[in-house]
This record gives sequence, C-alpha cells and structure tokens, in this order.
Amino acid sequence: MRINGYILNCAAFLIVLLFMTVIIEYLPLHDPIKIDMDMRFSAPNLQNLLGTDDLGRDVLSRVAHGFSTTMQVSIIAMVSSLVIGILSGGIAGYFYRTWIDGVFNWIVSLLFSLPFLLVMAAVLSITKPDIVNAYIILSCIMWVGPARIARAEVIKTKNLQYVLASRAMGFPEKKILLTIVMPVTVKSAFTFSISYLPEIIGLEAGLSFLGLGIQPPYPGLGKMIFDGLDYIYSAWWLAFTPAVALFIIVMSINLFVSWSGKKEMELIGR
Amino acid sequence: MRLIYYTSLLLGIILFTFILFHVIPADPARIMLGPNADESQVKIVRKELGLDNPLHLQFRNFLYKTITFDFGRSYIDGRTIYEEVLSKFKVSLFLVLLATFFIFLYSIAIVLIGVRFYPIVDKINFLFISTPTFFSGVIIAIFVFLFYPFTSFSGAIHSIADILYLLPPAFILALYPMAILARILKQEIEKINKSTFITAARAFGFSETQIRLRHSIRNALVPFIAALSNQLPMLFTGAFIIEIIFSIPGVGSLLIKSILHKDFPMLEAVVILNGLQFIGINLMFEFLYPVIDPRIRSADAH
Amino acid sequence: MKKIRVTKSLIICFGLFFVFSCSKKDFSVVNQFVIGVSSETERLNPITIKDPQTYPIAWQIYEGLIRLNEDGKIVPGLAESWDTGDNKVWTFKIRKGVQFHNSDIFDSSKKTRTITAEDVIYSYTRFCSPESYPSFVIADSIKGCGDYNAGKAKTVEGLKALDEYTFQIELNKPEPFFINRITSPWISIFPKESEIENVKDKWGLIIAVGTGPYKLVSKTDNEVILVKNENYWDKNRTPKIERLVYRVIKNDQIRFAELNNGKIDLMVLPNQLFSSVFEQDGKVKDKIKEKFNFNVIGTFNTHLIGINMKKLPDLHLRRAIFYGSNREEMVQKILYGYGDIIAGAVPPGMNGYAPLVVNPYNPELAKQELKKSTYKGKAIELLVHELSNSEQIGQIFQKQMSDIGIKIKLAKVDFNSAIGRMIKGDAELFSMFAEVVFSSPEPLLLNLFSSTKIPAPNFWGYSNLSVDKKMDGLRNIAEKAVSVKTAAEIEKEIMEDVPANFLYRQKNVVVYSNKFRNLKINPHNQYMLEQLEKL
Repeated sequence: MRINGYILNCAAFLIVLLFMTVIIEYLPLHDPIKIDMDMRFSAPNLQNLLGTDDLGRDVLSRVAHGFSTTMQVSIIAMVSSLVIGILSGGIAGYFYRTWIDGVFNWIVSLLFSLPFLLVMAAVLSITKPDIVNAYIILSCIMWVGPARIARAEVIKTKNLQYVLASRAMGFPEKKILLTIVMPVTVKSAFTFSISYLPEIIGLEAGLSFLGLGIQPPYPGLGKMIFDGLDYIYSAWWLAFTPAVALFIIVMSINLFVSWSGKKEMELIGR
Repeated sequence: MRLIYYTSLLLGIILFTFILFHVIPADPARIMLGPNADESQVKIVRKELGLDNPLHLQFRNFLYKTITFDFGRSYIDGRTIYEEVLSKFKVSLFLVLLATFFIFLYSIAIVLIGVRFYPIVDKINFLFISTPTFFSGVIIAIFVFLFYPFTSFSGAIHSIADILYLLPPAFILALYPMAILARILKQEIEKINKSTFITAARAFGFSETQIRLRHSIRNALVPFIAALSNQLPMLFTGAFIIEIIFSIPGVGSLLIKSILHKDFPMLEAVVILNGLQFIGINLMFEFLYPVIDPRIRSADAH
Repeated sequence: MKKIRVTKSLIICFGLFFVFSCSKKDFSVVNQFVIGVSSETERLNPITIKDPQTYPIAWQIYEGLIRLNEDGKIVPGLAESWDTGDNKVWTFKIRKGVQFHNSDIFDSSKKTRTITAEDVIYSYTRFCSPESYPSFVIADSIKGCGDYNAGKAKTVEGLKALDEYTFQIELNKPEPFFINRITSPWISIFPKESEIENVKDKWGLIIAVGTGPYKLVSKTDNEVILVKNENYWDKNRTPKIERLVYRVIKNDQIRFAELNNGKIDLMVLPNQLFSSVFEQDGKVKDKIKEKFNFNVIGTFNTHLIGINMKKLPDLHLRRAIFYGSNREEMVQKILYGYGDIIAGAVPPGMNGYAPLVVNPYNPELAKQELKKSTYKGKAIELLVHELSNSEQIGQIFQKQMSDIGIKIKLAKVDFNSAIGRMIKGDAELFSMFAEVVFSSPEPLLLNLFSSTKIPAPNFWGYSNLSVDKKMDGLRNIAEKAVSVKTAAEIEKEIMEDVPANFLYRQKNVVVYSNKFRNLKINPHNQYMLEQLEKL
C-alpha cells in the first residue's frame, strides 16, 4: 500500500541510477584508460571537455566511468548490508530481552567501536586488494546501521496497541509479522540505508588511500579526487570535477530521499 | 549489570584485536630491517620480538601486559607505546572538543533561527554532508593558510597558539556530524512545534524565544544526544584525513602510520585505548539521559 | 538571554586580547634555516634509521670515518688517513682531539669526551648487530661481522685497535672497493654511553650525541631543532647558520605554500609539484626563478621494475620487457627530464662508472623476442605502491607493454606489503627503488646479483655461478679504472639475462630561498649545510 509505494519510489530511483551506469558504456566518450603522454594536464577545451589528467587521459570520460563503477558497487554494498541488517536486526528485536538480543547488541557495539579502516586493512591484506572484495567487506561492516534501526522498529511495533489488539483477536503471529511489523521495519531500514549511500561512496576514497579498492588504471571518483589534490595549484580541474560529480550524486540522493519522505508524510496526512 | 556488559565488550575488543593482528600476513621483523637484510638477521630479530612463540602463549603475555597498561615498545621507534598513544589522544581530544564546540554553535543557531529559515538550513546541511573531508580539508587548508596567523603546530598543546591552530581542522571535522545532528534536531523541532503542548504554551503567552529555548530544546535533546553519542567516538580515529592534511599528530594518523608499517604493538594499543574511549563516551552519555529527560529515569534502559 | 550574550562577547574580547598579547615564541632569530619535511622524523638512532627523510637530519649530527664531497670524491672525515697493503687489512688513523657533543650522558665535568679507536670499534660492532638496519653494508665484508649479525659470535673478530688512535679492519676477502662501502654516513661513530641504563630509552628520541657540525636541541613529532656545534673539529667547516629547524608539513601543497610565504626556506620538490614549478620542457617558471635557487643532485638511487625469475622463467619474455620499455618517455614526461635513464643496476658516473648499454629501447626487437617466447597473452601482475611515482610509472609501463603485446595488470599495495610479497617470492613484477649506499659499482653488483644473496637483496633470484666467479674476481683488481670497466662488462652480461628492468637514476630537485646561498649536497644526499650562508 502506501508504505510499499515509498519503497517502490526509492527502488525506482536506484534502478534509474544503475541504468545510467550501464548506458555510460555506450556513450561516445574517449577511452578512460588510454594514456597519451603528449596531452598531459590540458585544461578543459573542445576536445577534452573537462581536460586531461597527469597521464593525458580524458577527465570527462574518467569521471563518467568512475561514477559508473562507484555507483554499481556502492548500490550492491548498500543492498547487501540492508538485507543482512534487516534480517539480523529484526530477529534481535523480535527476541527483545532475551539472550539473542544481548549477543546482537554486543557484536554491534564491538564492530562499532573498532576503527573500520583497521578492519578493512586487515582483512584486505589477506585477500587480494580489489574493488569487489573491498565492497564485500564493506557490507560486512555496514550492516550494523540498518540492523540497529530494524531492531528498534521491531521493538517499537511489536508492542503497539493495535498489534496487541490483533494478537488478542487471534491473528496468527506470522501474519502480524508480515503485514505490520515487516513493512515498517523494512521501510525505516531502507530510508536509513539510502541516506547512508553517500557515505558508502565517500568511503571509497578513504580506502584508496591505503591502496584498497579500485586498482589503477581504472578510475574511481574518490581516488581521482585524492590524486588530483596533488595538482591543485597547477591543474585544478583534476580534483574539482570528480568532487563536483560526487557532490551532485550525493546531493541528488539526499534530495530524493527527503522528497520521498515529504510525499510520504503528505500521503499519511500527518 | 552495565559494568559487566562493558567489561565484556572491552575483553571482546582485546581478543578481536589480537586475533586480527595475528591473521594479517606481515613480518614486522622484515619491515624493521628493510629489504636488504639477510634472512638470518631477520630470523634473529623475529625471535627477539617474540613472534615465534605459539599463539596462546603470545595471547597470554599480551593480556597480562594490557591489563597493566604495559603496551611495550613500538617496533618502529622504540618509544614507549603507552606514552605515545596517550599524547596523541590528548591532541585528538582537543581537536574533538573544538569540533564539538562548532557543533554546538551550529545547533544553537538552528534552534534560535526558527522555522522560517529551515529550507536554507536544509541546503546548507546537504552541502556539508556531501563534501568529502579530504576535499574540503585541502581547499580550506590552502586558502586559510594564506592569511591565518596560527600556522605552526608545536606537536602538543603547549600554548593558546596551538589551540588556535586546531580551529580550521576542527571546523572541517565538525562539518559532517554538524549537519547530521542539525538535521535530526531540525526534524525533532518541527515535530514538536506542531505538537499540542507548544500550542498551549503559545496560548499562554510565552515569547517565541522562550518557547524555543526552554521547551523545544528540552524535548528535542534526547534524540539529539543519542545521535551525538554515535558521532563523537568516531571523530577520534575518523579524523585521520584531516590530521594528515594539517600535520596534526593525533590518533587517526597514528593509526594509519601503524597500519602501513605493520607496527602491531602500536596498533593493538591504539585499538584498545580507542575502545576504552568509545566505552567511556557511551557511559557518559548513558548517565546524561536521565538528567535531561526525567521521563527516562524510571524506564528501563535498553 | 541578554545576559548570556553580554557575557559571551566579554569572553571573546578577553580571549582575543590574551591571544594577541602573548607574543609568539618566535625566535625571529637572525641566523636560522628552516627546512620543510614531509613526514615525522624517526628515532635518531644510527642503528635503526631507514627513512630517507631522516638521513639528512641525522647526518648533521653523526659522521663517519670518511665522506664524499659534493663532487663525489672521497675526503677524510673522522679518519685523517687510511692505508691498505693487500686490500684485506685496512688501517685508519683516527683524528685526535675530536670531541662528542656536550651532553649529560658523559661522566666528566666537561660533559664530553674525545673519540678514540675504541669508540670506532664500538660503533662498528653495533652496526654489525642483528637489530642494525645498515648491517648489510658491512656484514659480508668485515671478518666476523656476519657471524655477529647472525648471533653466532659475541664480538666482531675483524675489528682491532692497534693503539688509541689507530683502528684496523680485517676483511673476509680482499676488497679494493671496501672504502666505498663506508663513504656514506650510514655507518657513523657514536658513543657507547648511548647504551647506559637511563639513556637507552631516550637515545634518539631526546638525546642524540655525535661529532657532527650540528647538535640536537629538541625533537618533537612536528619539529626537530639542531643548533651549531661550537666545538666542531673541522675549523674550515664551522657552520655559519646558527640554527636548523626541520618542520613537518605533511601535505605537499601546503608545504609549497609555506615555502612561497617564506615560512620555510628549503624543501625537496616532490614530483607532483613539478607541474607547478617547471614548464613542460623542464625549464623553471619565471615567477619561481625570482625567489628561489635550485640544486639538482644526481643521487645513487635507482628505480626499477623487478622481475621474479622463477615466475617468469622465459628469457625471451623478459627480453621483450627489457627492449619494450621506453625509459626516455618515462623520464621526459613524468620527471620533466630530471632523471637519467639506465639499463643496468649501476648509476652512471658512480666512481667513474660508464655502463655499456644505455638506452636499449627497441620496440621491433621487443616484438621479435615476444614471438620467440611462449607468452600466450595472460595478464602479468605488477605490484605498485604509493611511493616515488610507482603508480604512474606502472601505468605508463602498462601502456608501453600493451603496445608490444604484453598484458600487464596492476595491483596497488602499500610499500611494506610490496616488500613483503617481493621477498616471499609472491610477485611476478614489482616496482621498486633501490637505495644505493655504496659509492662504487662492485659491492652493488655483489649485493644484488650474487647467488648467495637470494632472496634478499637478490630479489629476482638471479643465480649464475660463472658470474659469481667473475664478480669475485673484482676483488683482485687494484686499479680503480680497470675495476670499474670490468664491472661494466659483468653488468652487461648479467643484463642479457634480464633479472630486472632498471629504468632510471633518481635526481633530487631541491628548492630554496635565494636569501641563502652555497648549498652543497653530495650524491649520497648528504646536505653539507655547514657551508650554507645567509645573504
């Protein structure tokens, strides 16, 4: 119903983003990894709309492909952490005040208190430093956020008036779970995750500092910004363009989230 | 009850840290001696560092030493780890305090400003949340250093000049949490403004400012403080990018340096002390809740 | 509300007043030189220093028996003369009356002591110990040093004091080039008081006592301050600048900004800033020329792509890589010409060295070799790391290889992991730089290509017994010119097997304010700041 509508909205948005990332492959852009040492550091001009980088590669193309890779993998990380989070948080919340919940809380606090960078670095030094591996591990850390939210929601709704009433009236537990508790939980966790997406994207930059994540010569927005900062005096467009691109993406996600939220509120009539 | 919870959490952190570092395939002895050294030489140093001992023995030694805060000496430097980590924590503490100062300033501004300006506030928040720290950090660093007088840091908090040096980096550190918290605060205030008891207060004739300061805040505080207790502990280690840009010797850059050098004793000390800091801040906030909102006093803390 | 506002503004006023009345503890000293460095200085313990950033600082404090002047010639240091009959026993006459820096670590009321042969023996013994980073410089060479290094002996047999001021080293085998092992202050003389109970923990952190032209005053994570040694033994080289301040500014852009503002006086120009300072052809931009002087030093350090010979056993594939690398392009484009291309391990000019192969780039030949090989198109992994343009070089190399038909896959790891994997034999190709401590080709070749030196520092696993014998033969050539020429022939033979793909020799670009002049730096990257003067 209305709750599903909100999720549909967000899902549609994500699908549009994914679609864009696929289309990029077919656009008439320069080769993002073709090195041309004679064309280094060209300022934005007609041939290279956003200039070229320190190895002569076209910045526009690199930003587009970087956006594409970053987007695909971030969405995957987000969705997987969401799923893990909802499941674990929901279960913990359902068994509130039992040992299951206690253990859950304990694990969450543990993961939360460790500097994520450390865990990433540690795990990635065992496996190969690869963007795919990086995001698998990222979702293993990120599930904490939606899990907490899911748990809180489950706890709240489990004991709401009308849920108690439904139970008293004899509705089977499973039906209550599916029709009432689940949708609310999923919706809250989903909202949280989507608004967390920008942060996931931003984390890629922190990883590239340690050399974990997208490997050269493939472009990644965070890495491009980081590398471009070295040349900020002489070739400002190297850092500026991917930063603006990142900014636009994050901005639009945030705007979309808040727009959906408002629509949601209107529909409910609060 | 809470004490047991937190102690077991601490133990968990210690265990996890230990396991983590003995899973990382790195040879601190080789790193210390560099690529040119003969294997026979590296073997001796490995023995000296106790890297040869069976795992459970190493853990036992480790646990015992940790409890007495004896973290030993760094592989890189030979400095006493405890002193070094503590001095870095002190610097980070100031940075975080200054950042909190900025957060409060901004939040108070939000409260005082009133609902009319909220759309603009929204946009500003988006701006703050969306810019990655290293980008804003370097831009501000470059421009601020053109005319900001306090541009050298003596390495520790020795004078007012040092504290003032930390202002721009603290500001950048504060941008993201500032925006998150402001968003939450704003949402809560909007919710409260529409609620019945505020309308009642207005009917009673209280001035708008009075309402904002005394009534809105009180109620909005709890979620705000909850979010703050989430954001704050992360600022210590999370500030590493800012620390690198501004050459601030804090916990974040210590963490990165130790990761890159595989300086295990240092890393273990940093993680454990950071865990302590995390627990400390959480505890502090837990005691804060009942003080702020009397309703919570009787309810069971979950 | 109003009360709060008033109090707030009062506090702010007070604060500002306080701040501006506290004058900054700036010496605005007449005679100081501020150097911007990019990372924290390590512990100033000669045994453990490994960061190239730390050496220039440490080498103001500590000195060796001999040194190189700015032209690369050997000049007496703490030893006033030396002699050898058979190139196996070397006798050094220690200079009389050289005093250590004043410090409380010394017992006497004068707080110092003159150095004797005993001090030299102590220092050299320490450099042979297992925890010594530079031990590889002398461990194979000095008799008994290797045993001490492997923990098999209690003292180093080959070190003797003939009398108070005569020091003698006995080598395992004759080495006419032994003297070139110790020209770098990597091996320096420091007092045995460094190991006293309550000094040991502070050694290198707060206390650092040597014989050099500058003494340590203070060391924090952000700044190291040195002050001139009034009692420096070389009266011709007493420093003119009173104080040296080494300030850590991690971010390159900010460091450069500080240089422009005059807050620091010197910095080494990192490659990322070349585009701000040089035009594309390598000439200095005009507005930079107005304020700054430049020193360009050809160091002995080389950059290379190491090859794991076990993982790439196909000689023709390796030769294809060798001929297909356009070193010229790398140096001209990435380094703006500030580098010399090399095809072998030894940097040109080292002790008169002239390599026999200079620029082997030949894409046609490379393709022919590739045809002869068994390469089927599988991607070969190249490890790159975050230091010294490794990533950029890796990407250009990848492109050059793809131009001749070899597929390269890049894997970026942090430097220490790269070293670990390289030594483990886990990497197929690895981008590395070699810090060369010797000032002559013979010990370099022995270190890098002897079969006994696998896996470190013979990282490629090159093993050729006939070459081993030829390198050993260098020990019997007393005349420098002949020795160097023979070394060039041996290197050519080694390179035909392509154990590694050497690319270029590193040149450091040092920028400093033109308020100063007479900056001299030797090929070891030792800054002879005692000659620096302020205009």
